[in-house]
Amino acid sequence: MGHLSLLLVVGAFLVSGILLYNANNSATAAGDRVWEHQRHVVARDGAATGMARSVRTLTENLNGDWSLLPASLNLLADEPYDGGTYTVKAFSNQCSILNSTSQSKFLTRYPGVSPSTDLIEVRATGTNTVLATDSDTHQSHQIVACYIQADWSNPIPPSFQYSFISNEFFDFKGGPEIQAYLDGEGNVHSNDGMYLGPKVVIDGHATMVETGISQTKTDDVASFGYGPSVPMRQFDPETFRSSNNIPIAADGTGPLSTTDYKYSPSSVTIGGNTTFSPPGGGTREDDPWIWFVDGDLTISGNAHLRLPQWTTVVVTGKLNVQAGANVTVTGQTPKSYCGCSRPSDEQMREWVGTQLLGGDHSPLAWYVDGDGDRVSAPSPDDDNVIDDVVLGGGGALVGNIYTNGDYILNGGGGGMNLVGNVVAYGDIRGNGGGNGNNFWFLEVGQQNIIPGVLLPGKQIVRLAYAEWTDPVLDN
Amino acid sequence: MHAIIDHIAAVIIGATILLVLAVMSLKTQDGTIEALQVNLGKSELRQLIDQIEQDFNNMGSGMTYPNEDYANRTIRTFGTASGWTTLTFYGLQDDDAATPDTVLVTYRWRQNGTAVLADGTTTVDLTEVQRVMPSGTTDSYHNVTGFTITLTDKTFATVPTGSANLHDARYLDIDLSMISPLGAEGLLQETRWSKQFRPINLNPEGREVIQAACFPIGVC
Repeated sequence: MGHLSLLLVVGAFLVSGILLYNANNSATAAGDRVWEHQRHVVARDGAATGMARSVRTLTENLNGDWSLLPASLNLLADEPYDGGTYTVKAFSNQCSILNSTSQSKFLTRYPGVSPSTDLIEVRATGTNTVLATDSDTHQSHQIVACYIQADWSNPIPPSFQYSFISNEFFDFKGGPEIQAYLDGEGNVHSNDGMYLGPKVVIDGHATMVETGISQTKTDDVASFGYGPSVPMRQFDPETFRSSNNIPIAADGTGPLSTTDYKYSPSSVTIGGNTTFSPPGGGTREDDPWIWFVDGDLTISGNAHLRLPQWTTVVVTGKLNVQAGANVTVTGQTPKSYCGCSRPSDEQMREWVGTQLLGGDHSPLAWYVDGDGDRVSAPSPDDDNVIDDVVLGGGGALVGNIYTNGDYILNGGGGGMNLVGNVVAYGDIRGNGGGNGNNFWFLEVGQQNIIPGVLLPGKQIVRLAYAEWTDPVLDN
Repeated sequence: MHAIIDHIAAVIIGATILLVLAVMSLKTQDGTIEALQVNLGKSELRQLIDQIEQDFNNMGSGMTYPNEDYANRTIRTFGTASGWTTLTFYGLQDDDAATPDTVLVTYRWRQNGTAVLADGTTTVDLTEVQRVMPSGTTDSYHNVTGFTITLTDKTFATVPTGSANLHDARYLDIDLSMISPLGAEGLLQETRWSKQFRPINLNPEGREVIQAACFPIGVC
């Protein structure tokens, strides 16, 4: 009995010892893995720091020849960071994380880019050495990104990338709903302050620059906060007219219309059904038909104006689209398309598709000078809201609107459907009757951008991004 | 007589000491087993986490316009079939500059078995998690006790399994817990990890302008 007990005790201690030894080993191994992970996180931070420094160098060399940059960027070697180091390698005129097909697709979007001087690949690698004995002794993380420098307005000015943007106050009451027709976000922005009513629905983010103005955040806006100012400028319709060789026919210097343009020497009111179908005009995507209205343009209530597929409208006065009016590319309005009095969202989406005729941009653009209070920057900052562009409710208007002045939305409860976006150098105001208004955000087609709204300068665009860590780098 | 009593007392005292030592030893065994299980669980968990971090951070890399449209979206499927929940997505899987082509990565998981935790009463479902590459290479983890991936869009609204709007996904919330690969039931310990990813390439704006010069106009 005594011997048996002794054996039991000895056996138990032996087993305990073995287990304790194994537990110690596994604890060390688990600790090493956690340690390894911590080192890896530091390596990743180091790589991100190297990338941030590289982007700063790119920024400092905008307008320059980027083929010269690898020489200076590659000087960032074994830079100390949090116990580890980071190293940058740059390669001009290449993007090895995109295949040639993808690269071509990008460069097509930015036609002014010369890859030899405007394209660069940056690889920032952070490393950290693990001191623990049983773990990987070399932790690395590499971030790879490709950048191009392109003209600031290439492919389109930044203001056209918002569904609604104003240089002055942005005030949306009522319940308009802003949706993105394609993938993306129908963001809204103000370079001044912003108020959004509680019923506003935005498929995107709302940003403003100024502080100290009350705002109401709604649950139907992705986010609401401050953002950097977005540059925009006022255009000069007269410069546009003369550069397009549109003569002032009233002076007897040229015809009122050709296959390239239609010139209206004074204010115009459209009533009933009106179709413009100039022979040979409006069918050229790279050279849109122009309608130049030297005065105000009013589209009466319940009128239906049909414009050619590729049209740029320039109005030297004000634009007033009254309640119930429609401006379309095809012969069908939303209501006639669905055969109903109030199209559903799905029916509206289908109808918008018919207006694009297979494209993915709005085929029409409207440039409205307004009451002519144009001044050079900074903005006029007038407190009065001028009815430079007024949209009533109940109809549909295709096209991107750019005005040197203010934009006013009158809903009337019937619901206006706008296909495009609104850029206002002045204010954007939506009155309380804006319930039911629907906006389908689409970027403007490049061919419909007039030179007067283009911005000088350059931008940096990130084409591609990837990051590698162990075990890929250690292979 | 006195010697006999002394002998009996010695035996009793000795047996008591041996019993105490034996009990202490068993308790030590239990404690070390628990520690062993936690550490092994953590170690295997880290291995899975490393794979997930690599894959998720690289989601959509190597693609021209991730999520530009349904046909070219990064996250290709997120659904359930035959007992598995499956998430598939595209991304670069190596740093081979000669062939920067995207690869379809599959994560799939299903309930498979149960285990009893250290309290002796709590029974947890075991989840089998697999990472499958197009080549057929499969990494399997059998000791996962919780594995959820939640996709959310830019407004943090859930993009559920079976959704046709996977191109709206911007965030991936992952929550997983694991037990030791050793099967000593009653002493198993869980270790847990959760993280939210926002892969740059899932976000259309991630590709947009990151720096711009010349604003205000004329000041470059």
